[in-house]
Amino acid sequence: MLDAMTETAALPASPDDEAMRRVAAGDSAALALLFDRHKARLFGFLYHLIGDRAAAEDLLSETFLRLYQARRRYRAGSGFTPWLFAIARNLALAELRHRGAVNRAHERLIRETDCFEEAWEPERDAERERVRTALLALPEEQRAAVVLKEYQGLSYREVAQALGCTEEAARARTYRARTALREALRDWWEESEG
Amino acid sequence: MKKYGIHPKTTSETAAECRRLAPWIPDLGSGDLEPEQAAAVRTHLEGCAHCRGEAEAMLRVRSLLQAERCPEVRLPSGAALAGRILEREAARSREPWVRWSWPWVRSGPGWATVAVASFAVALLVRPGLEPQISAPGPAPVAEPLPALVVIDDERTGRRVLLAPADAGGQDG
Repeated sequence: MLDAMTETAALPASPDDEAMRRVAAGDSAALALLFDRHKARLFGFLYHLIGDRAAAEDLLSETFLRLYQARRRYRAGSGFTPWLFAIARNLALAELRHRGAVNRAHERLIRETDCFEEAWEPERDAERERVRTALLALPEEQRAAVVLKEYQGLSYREVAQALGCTEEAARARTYRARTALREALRDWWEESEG
Repeated sequence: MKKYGIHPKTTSETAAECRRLAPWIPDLGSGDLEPEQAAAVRTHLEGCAHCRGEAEAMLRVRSLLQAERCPEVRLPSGAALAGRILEREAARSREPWVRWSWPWVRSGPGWATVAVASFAVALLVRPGLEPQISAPGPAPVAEPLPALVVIDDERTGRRVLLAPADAGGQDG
């Protein structure tokens, strides 16, 4: 880590980079700070990727365990957020493969709809379910791209870093995902509008 | 709501322009386009009803995605999680095998490397697996026969052949 920090000393250190430097030195408070800073969006990413709330919670903790184990390999200035999402995505992919994935995750999602602790709004629930179904039907690469773009607000460059592809590929995957979502949802919104 | 799947235009030139600009349409106003790309999309949308419909549909998709938020969950505090992680790692580092082994041996690929290397060494040193047909080497050298000594036996008046040792013994 020190080597990495030295190499990129000229770059302005982000708050995340600074926290990672402290984590590498064994500072647990810095690890806690990073977790508190990123847990909500990382949970959202994992949830939309695998469609399972409980698994997303587990993978959230696992992501930070992996982050801690890889703390000396992190290079300051290389983009903490894409790095973090890349770790989370790798774990989510392994989880999806382990389960034989999308279908079972989808079943859980449908069951989960009943567990929301909020006022029952049949139309809203139907809309959410429809969107979740369409999202989970996307190929994983496209789903990860569109979730990072639409929900996490990452730039295409950051999406590319997180997915380990070129910026052009990230754009193309996001566009294909949007097009597929439009096709999947269009009939439904046409019906709902009469 | 109109259907957007069939392109209403007839000239291949305008259809090609629509295809070129289509991926940029959803990013209009998001800051992801270069100024000239955004200007090209805006100009095109003014004159293309088909692409205006596409833009409208993409906005609709975006708003639906935003409405599909993730559930509210009570996530652990950072302090609690960091404590658990450090505790777990400390316990792991106290394990004797982890403490005394090389880091690369602990990893999965490390074990695989050790296994493959051991198997290769076993193959090399195992006598039963030595090559059965070898290339012809130098011709074997015949051992020289012991020189024989011929003596005259005075008692019998005959000549007798003796090995050198016997001859020596007789000499002694």
